[in-house]
Amino acid sequence: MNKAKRIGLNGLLAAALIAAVSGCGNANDANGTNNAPAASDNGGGNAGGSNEAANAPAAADDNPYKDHLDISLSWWGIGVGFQQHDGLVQKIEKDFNVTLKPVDIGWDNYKEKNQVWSAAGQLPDIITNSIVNDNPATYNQWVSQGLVRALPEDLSKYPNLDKVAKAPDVKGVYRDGKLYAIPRMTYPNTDMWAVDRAVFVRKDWMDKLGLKDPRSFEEFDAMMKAFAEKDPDGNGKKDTTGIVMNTLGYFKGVFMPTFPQFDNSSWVKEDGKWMPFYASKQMDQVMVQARQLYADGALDPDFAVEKAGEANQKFYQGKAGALAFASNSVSGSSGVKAEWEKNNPGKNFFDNVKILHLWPAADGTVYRHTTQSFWSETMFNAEVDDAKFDRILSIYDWLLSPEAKEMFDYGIEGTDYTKDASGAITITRPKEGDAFVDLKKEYPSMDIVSQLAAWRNASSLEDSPANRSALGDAVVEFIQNELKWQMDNAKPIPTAFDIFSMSTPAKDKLSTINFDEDFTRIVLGKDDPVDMLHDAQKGYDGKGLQAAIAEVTAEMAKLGQ
Amino acid sequence: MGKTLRKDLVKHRYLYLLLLPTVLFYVLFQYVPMYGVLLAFKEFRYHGGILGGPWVGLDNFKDLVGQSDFWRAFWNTLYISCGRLVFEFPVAILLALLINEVAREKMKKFYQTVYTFPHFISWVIISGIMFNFLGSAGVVNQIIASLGFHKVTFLTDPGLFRAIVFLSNIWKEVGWSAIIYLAAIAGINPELYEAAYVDGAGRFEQLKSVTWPSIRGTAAILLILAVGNAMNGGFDQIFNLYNPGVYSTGDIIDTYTYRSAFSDGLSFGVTTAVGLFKAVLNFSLLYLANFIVKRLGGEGLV
Repeated sequence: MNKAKRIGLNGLLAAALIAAVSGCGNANDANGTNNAPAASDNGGGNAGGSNEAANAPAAADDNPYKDHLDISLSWWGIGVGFQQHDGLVQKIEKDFNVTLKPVDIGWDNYKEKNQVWSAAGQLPDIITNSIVNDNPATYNQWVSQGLVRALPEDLSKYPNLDKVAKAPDVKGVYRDGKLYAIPRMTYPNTDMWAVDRAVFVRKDWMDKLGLKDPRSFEEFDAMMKAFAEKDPDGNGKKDTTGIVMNTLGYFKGVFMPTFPQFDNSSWVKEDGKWMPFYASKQMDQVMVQARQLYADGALDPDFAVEKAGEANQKFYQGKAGALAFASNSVSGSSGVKAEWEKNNPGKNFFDNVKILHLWPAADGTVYRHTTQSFWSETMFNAEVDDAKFDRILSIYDWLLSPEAKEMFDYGIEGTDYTKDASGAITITRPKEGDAFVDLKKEYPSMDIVSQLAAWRNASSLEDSPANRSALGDAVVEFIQNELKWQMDNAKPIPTAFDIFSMSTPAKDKLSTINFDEDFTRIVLGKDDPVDMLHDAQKGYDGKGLQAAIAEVTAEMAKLGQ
Repeated sequence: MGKTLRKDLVKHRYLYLLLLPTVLFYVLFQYVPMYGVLLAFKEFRYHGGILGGPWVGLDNFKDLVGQSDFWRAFWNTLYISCGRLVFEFPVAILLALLINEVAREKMKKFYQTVYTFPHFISWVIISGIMFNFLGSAGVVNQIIASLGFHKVTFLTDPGLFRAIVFLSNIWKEVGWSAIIYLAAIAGINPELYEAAYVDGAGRFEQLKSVTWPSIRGTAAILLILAVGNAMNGGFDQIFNLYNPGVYSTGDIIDTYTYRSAFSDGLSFGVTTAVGLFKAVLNFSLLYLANFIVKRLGGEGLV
């Protein structure tokens, strides 16, 4: 009978899938992209590839790419980005003689989708995921059960990839001496992460209410409370709030002075033992302060129900006094500056908004955000055969090359820019007002292709002619100044980088602890926040927290820490 | 026996042919996938599929009962399901009776359409609408604030969550659930009403003595089915409405399983064990309700 279907895993999976597609996926699926993974021709190891491409280059003998291959790859929102099949995608497909088959994933469901596909044997050839650090138990399973393919030990054929594989904090990604994932490097060093946290604040509101930069949490709380209560926009209604957040991760930055390691979710050494931030005594005060912000109305009362990015609108529309986000998010056509100015016609963003620098911690130090040098990773379906794997690695090697960077900076040579014999570049693409047309507008796949192998964060921060022409001088200088301020005035959070990718049996199981959810629950709760936190911490012991602390402490002792 | 059956089959072959697609549907989509339940006693292996992993006995169940979140979800499911039986179930009957009392045929159709329509809106949309109404800057809170009261955090207050779940589900489904009662009412012989009228029964007396006894059987069957469904708290609705702030009162077994399997990386074996546990409970509840209804003199399901 009807109940029977509830029993089967298939029923469960189907229900979950439907929910995933109709529930979480709806924001991304508006364009009707195909969500089904395109299982492209992984066919049983026919190294030659069966379908000779009609448009293969004529001189075939010495061409390593003479056989046409279909390669499926997943990426956040790739369905929309690849829809136009723009010049950028065409160029890669032509240069490497491949057809790229996009497989769509969404920001709020990509892990779920990867899990479902892994169980159904439908993973794409190139897998975009973030489990090496987030769910090491799953990563270990994928490796031990042969779901993903290891990179060749000798990467000399792919010099740019080789550099990534040998980077110091990639060590933790290896399993039994083999690398099963290419970490997506964010910055060349851990310093530049400083621009990944910022509290944007309404300068004009501060002036109007006579508020000065806060020098302590209490002053910060009072300022946010004033934004919510003292009618800073002067419309006579109590319709504003204090601080809103892009996502919870950015909001954590506010507590850097209270407990630095809470901001980057790292481990701390306390009483001779290494423990995750959520087990630390220092969390008590964070919880008290977060609750205070919420109870005072200084924190957006809807933060728990808003989806990623949704609350930014409140800041753009003048309904919130501060926005917890990243300083490098000012740039671009959908960046904070552009969105704010769209909602406040005639006003200049930089005249009305500034970055609020946080007060020093108890030890007198101002901290800045840092974390390990990569976030998320590319993995390869174990069913990919040698020929295809070589092609994929060649593409990735190229994506990491200086030639590719030039393309991501300036577009396609001949179409968007010219280069003379000395290497000087002249941009030839059309202008839109003062600035050149945004390359992302010209090539909707730009954001995807340029970030497949490595995040472009460092490039977008450079004070380069390309950035000045694309983003405008004011934005480039704003980010440069902020970076400089952070380098001059703040110190990176003391972070145990070794532990991020460390794998021990009990530590791997900690991924079932979702502290963000407990944090949210405690902030919204009515009981004493410290009691609630301690209760939650007791619950973590049942999930193996103490065993993980013991194991990691022992491992760290071996490293002399 | 075999001979008569074959004779029967041949004789009514067209009727059986008509039945075939439905039978095939159930076999293919409801019975065949049942083997997946074996996973509850296995460790999942990606390459082996459902049958390929090694047997682990009751380990998955042991893992499960050790999880405090599971028990929270278990009790929440029970509370929410009972609440649905108590608060949601009778509303459809009431609505059907009320619509039936509307004299003008056109108005009847109008009300029925109005009440049925929300059924076709998905929970994703409704959750968005509710957020706009009940959020801190929503209409409801603006009214509350303009009257000088404190704003209410409707969507993140664990104490209000269940009420919101019941009310929104009533709003969405009541018209749809009333259809079956309206159909039963439409089937009542009009002579019964005429006889009651002659006997001097007013509208209320007619409702009490004619309409209600006629649909009581239908209500009993639907109640049995609802009880059998008790361990499903309504995944779609809760998943779209809840947030970490209301897990304490709103996280049900289905949402817990979903999060565990796909976000937190609990093994597929454990989450299948949850599904099996739930199904067994559902099955027992169904029988229990059936037994009780029969005992009370009603017509049961089986």
